[in-house]
Amino acid sequence: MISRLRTYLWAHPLVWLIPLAFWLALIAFVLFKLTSAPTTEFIYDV
Amino acid sequence: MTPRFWSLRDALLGIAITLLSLLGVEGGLWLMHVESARPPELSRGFDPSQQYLRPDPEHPGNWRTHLGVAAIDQLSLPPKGSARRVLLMGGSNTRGFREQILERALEAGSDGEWEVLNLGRPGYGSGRVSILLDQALSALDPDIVVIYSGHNEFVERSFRADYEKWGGAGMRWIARMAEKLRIARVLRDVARGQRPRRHDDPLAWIAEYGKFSSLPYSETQAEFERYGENLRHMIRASLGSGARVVLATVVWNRFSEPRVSTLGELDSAARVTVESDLRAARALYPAYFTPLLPAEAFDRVRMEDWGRTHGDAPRDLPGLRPLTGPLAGVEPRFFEGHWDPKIHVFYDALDKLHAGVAPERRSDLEQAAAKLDEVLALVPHHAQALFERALVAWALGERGERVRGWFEEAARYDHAPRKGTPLSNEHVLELAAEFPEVLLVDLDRHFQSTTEDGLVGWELMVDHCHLGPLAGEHALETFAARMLAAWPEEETR
Repeated sequence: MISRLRTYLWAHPLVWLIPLAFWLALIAFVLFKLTSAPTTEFIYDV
Repeated sequence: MTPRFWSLRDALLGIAITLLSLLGVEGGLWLMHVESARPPELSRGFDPSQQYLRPDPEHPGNWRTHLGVAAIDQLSLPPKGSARRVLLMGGSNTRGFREQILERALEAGSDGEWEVLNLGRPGYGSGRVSILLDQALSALDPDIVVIYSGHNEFVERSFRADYEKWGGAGMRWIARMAEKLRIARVLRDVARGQRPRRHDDPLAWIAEYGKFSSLPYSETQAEFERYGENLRHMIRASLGSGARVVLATVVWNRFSEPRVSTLGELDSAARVTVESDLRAARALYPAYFTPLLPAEAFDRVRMEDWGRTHGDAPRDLPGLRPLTGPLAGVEPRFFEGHWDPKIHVFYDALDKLHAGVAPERRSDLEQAAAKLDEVLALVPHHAQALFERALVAWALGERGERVRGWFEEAARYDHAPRKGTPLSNEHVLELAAEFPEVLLVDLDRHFQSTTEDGLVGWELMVDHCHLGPLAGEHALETFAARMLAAWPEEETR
């Protein structure tokens, strides 16, 4: 079963590459970009 | 078997798995009630195409704010009933106004019910207030709009610059889309929680205030022209929707130093002279001038210093001049809670300033005054020198027009003020003349009548621009009295 799945995934990389790319991109975007967006918590709060 | 990279069927399956996994994660977080403390920040108030007020699914008929603030601060605003509805618009001062005080004052002077809604948002300048008001007029249908805005023009300019520098329109769109996902909001909060707060970092403050250090004064004037335009738009939109408008000048602290001064077009020799004269003057100041002239923004007394989680217990503050006029005999009041230790250091210094210089130090201050006069002869509009000239004169016991003029000019020629100034308030007065149907409440002038020599200071304010609790309450009572006097039919409607 696992062997057949492995063979399938190897033959059809888009099936897992697309979700993987999406999740990696989302996490990277949130961690490296979204958290550095200016927020109203800083000095702008005056 | 050779991997097959270009297959539409595989791609569609990949997308389907992506969507299913996303649905699973979002659904799981929803079932477990895991949610960010902050809602999507939705362009931070700058984008008129965003809806910052939306129907509230939890309270049918209500409108809910969707603004870049903590979820706990989001408002659910009820549908309009029989009560006359007043809408408060502005920045953090407005946010601090207590709606019940205005409601009570209006109800005490009239028949019937009043309802006050407060859409004041911290840090909002006239640009964002104007966008929010456009949406609020149609959603909330106010009878009266009160506009108290003018302290935050450079706060907003700075925030907008940071926001636009952070990402272009495309990046901001992607961020807005990402923030719609619960998983992104939760991750964002976790990651932010690991970072030190910029607010507690002195270097961040230096960077913040350094942004405008070489801003020419023509830019300052242009910024306030835009402020005037925004106010004009707000007035027209409110009147057009059938609401009445109360337009107020903003109250600012004369004893808080300006932010940005420049030497303009001086040649290098004159620059050397000015800088050396300023240094020479400062060397002659008494030690208690130091807290009054904080070198960096981080060292200033700010509103949040009055509400620390740890710190000094409130005690009677020295350095308070007696209030006069409508507040004669009233004792100044400040916020309850823990105070930052710098508050007491500051008010001790203020006490010494008001008491005047000791006779043996008088000649030092007179020499300092002469040095500052030399600076002002070369750069008549040097905001910092004007402010220091005013302080020196005040310490020498001078009162009256000349010293008041220095304090006022120091604020007027601040290149990037974080408070209202004579320049901003003049725009308010001009607009009130342009729209006679608008009720002008010249709150700054009113508060001048409550203080010695018309110099609003630390008796009423808790920093450069924020009204203390006594002044905030008095401001609302003043609004109510002026509204009922100007529109007597509101008393019995």
